Amino acid sequence: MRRPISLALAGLLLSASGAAAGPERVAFPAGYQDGFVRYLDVDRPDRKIKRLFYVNPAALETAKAGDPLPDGTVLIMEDHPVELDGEAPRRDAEGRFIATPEVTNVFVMEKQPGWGEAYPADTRNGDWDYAWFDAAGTLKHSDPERYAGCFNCHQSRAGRDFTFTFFKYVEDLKR
Amino acid sequence: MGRCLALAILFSGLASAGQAAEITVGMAAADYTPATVEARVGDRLVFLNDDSVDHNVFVPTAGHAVDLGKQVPGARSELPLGKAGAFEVECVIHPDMHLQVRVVR
Ligand SMILES: [Cu+2]
Repeated sequence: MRRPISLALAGLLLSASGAAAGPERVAFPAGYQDGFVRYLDVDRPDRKIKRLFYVNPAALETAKAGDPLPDGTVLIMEDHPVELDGEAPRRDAEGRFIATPEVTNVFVMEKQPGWGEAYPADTRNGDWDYAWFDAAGTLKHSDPERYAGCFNCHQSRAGRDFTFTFFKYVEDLKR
Repeated sequence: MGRCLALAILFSGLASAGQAAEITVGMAAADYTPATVEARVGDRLVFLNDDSVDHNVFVPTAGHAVDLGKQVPGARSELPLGKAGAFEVECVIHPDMHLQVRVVR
């Protein structure tokens, strides 16, 4: 009697995690501002924003300098408008921009075993997939076509497991 | 004592050198030129895309990170140096384009 139930449960879990390739299978990491580690801030003068970067603690802990990043790594790029002095971004004592509390975009990239298999070789970013949310965690775009730019640009960092910042951060931190 | 004097002379020298410098970095042939820069806090890097393709100025180093966005041929961008330390500049488009920058007080 117990066996059919657990089999049915397993089937449910499979269908939940086996969503089609694309943003729909990247879960919004609710609570990341408290539960993740903020590892980097990037000023973006041309857009007058500051981008805050977060990683899940398990990935930061197990990542090794120079190695492909662990399965289950979740990286977040969070956009904030910056404080302005008239038209120009205000700078702190070290010349850095000052983020306002408003969050305009939450970009997530997540790595899970086998995720890349759905993509053709010339598009594939290892086992990463991407999703673009608003601050409340609603997908801004569910059409995988809208993510071609992510794959395209991150392809240039194939040597860093397709990340612009985190792989290097781990190298700088742990090497 | 002697060391203090030497330091005092050094700092007065820096103060009289005073003016912030503008250091131009080219991008021709998908290389930052020069490939290393030594600068002082208050100086400014000016990136000039003197190449025929798009480039970019991106600093991934924690504490200094900045992305100046895409720079088309002929375009200039500026990076004020407000903080001492060492960082790297990379092109988002060309992973082999690198520039090392060291900024001292
Ligand atoms: Cu370039």
